[in-house]
Amino acid sequence: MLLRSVFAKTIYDRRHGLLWWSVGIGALTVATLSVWPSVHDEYQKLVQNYPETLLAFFGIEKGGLGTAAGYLQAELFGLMLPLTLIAYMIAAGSAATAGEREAGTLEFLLSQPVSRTRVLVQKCLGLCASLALITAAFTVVLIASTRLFDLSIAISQLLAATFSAYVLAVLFGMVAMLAGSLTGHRALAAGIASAAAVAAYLLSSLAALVTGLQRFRPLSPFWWYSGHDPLRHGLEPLHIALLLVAVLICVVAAIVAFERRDLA
Amino acid sequence: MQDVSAAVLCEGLTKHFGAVRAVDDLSFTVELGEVVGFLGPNGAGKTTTIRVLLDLIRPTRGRVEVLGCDPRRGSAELRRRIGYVAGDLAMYNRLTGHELLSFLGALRGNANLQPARDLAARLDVPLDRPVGTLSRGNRQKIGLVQAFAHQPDLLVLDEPTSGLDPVSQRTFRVLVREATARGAAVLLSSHVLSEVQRVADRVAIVRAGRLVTIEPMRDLEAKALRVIEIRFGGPVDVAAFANVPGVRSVDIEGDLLRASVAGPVDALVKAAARFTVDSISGHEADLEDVFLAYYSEATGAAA
Ligand SMILES: Nc1ncnc2c1ncn2[C@@H]1O[C@H](COP(=O)(O)OP(=O)(O)O)[C@@H](O)[C@H]1O
Ligand SMILES: [Mg+2]
Repeated sequence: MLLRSVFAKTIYDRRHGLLWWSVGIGALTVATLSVWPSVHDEYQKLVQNYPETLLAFFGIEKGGLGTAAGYLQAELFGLMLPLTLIAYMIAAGSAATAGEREAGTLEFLLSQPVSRTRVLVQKCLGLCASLALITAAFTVVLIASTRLFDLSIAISQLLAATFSAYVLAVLFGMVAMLAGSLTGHRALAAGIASAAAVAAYLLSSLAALVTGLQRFRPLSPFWWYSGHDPLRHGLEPLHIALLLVAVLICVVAAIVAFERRDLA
Repeated sequence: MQDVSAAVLCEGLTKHFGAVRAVDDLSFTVELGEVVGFLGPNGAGKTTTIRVLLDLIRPTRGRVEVLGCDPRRGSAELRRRIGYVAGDLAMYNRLTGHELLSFLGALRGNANLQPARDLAARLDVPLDRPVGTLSRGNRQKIGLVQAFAHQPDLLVLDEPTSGLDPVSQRTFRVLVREATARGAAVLLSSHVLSEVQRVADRVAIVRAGRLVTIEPMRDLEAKALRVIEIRFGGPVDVAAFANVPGVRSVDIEGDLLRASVAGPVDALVKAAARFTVDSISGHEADLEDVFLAYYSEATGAAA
């Protein structure tokens, strides 16, 4: 039975969403990679004509130009993939408690013999597990597509980048969860988390162009996600650790807020 | 802990929402084995009080004990012993009754769903359809099923009979009596007295967040005005009933007398016995009037 706990129900409730988000990301991935065979000769010339600032904005290093890793970074990992995963997690995170409060079902759930902390933690874990399923589906399609469309890149590098994107999306999901616990309003929580994600993205990408911003770049979770270019260099433990610590802080703060407020 | 038998104890309970004083210095108890009707007009603060008991909201001030525990510290273990039906009952609409009950069973760590299924059968509610597709009355019944099935020590029921058909209302009253018979306490809120009249041992009336009165149902009933109709063998003089104790108003049309009586009708019957009486009929005490009188009294006091 799929309704054995709040954790299981969180995943069960998202089952249709899980399918469609996976199909969507998979289709996007296949579409993006399928053009590689026809463009990869032209690609090097093409990107060389891009202004250097634009390349920097998308996080493409000089050395990555014209390689499969550079292509994947520019077309998929630079924006589309994190954007999609983050959008999923913000929608899910803001619906989890604030959305349930607005629907009135939180009162029903919390009148049962479960503690608030247990409800919140299991919902967080349920969301992370559901995102893991989407990310796993994406990873399978990604690896298959690189093999099918002749992108030469090691599986370990793909896994490193995908894992980084997963942790980044978890972080903004937990920001949405925290905002939901603080405000109690789903739309507001989603707005706050989205604003935080856009700000983090702009800080990381604009910092490449604006000299004054350069030194603030290490403060952006987007920098922790891709600053070390995991598609070429694998995981950077410090950056992953920073992401995980930020996740933990959000979850603990969300629990504290959730334990304190009026929930009906 | 002086009052060990109290299932619910509120002392000076106060809850403000910003400038709104939803509950203001409210004190009352519910003892084990009794049913307390919790009455008041819409917006009186009944739901707010009840949510404090369930630890869904936190009081601004005051002491609250539920089954001997502070609701906040009692948390999940305390709620295990409470059955609750919310005023604005919102359950998981996409789950079927079966799915919902098994989810709740899992949260409780209780795999035996048979009592819940039996109760659903008694209330005649289908469990194989998504809860959201059921009529309001049937959803309300599922709310009752999940509250009563685990035989809690305290039932907190926020306007539970709204939307129920008369047959289910009767089943509901039987369930309440079964619960008190095994020693459970019941707090039953309503904005109409007639809903609690037949089950409540005591009635607490609140208005604008304040307690107007808490007293035994019989005392309240004794204050109710009863309309007595007496048909005589011939015309009678109204003066003969002018100063009969308990009679608040008399009205005679030909040989038919209609009187409003507070409390026992003994004096009226004895006064009537001097004449030839064809028939006597009495209407059930209209408690709604007593109730309304309390509301307006409270308004008068506040003004
Ligand atoms: N969450 C809330 N925020 C602001 N005001 C509230 C809230 N909940 C209840 N109130 C107000 O508190 C008062 C009492 O409401 P309630 O307890 O629901 O009354 P009842 O259940 O007796 O109809 C009302 O004036 C209501 O508008
Ligand atoms: Mg109410």
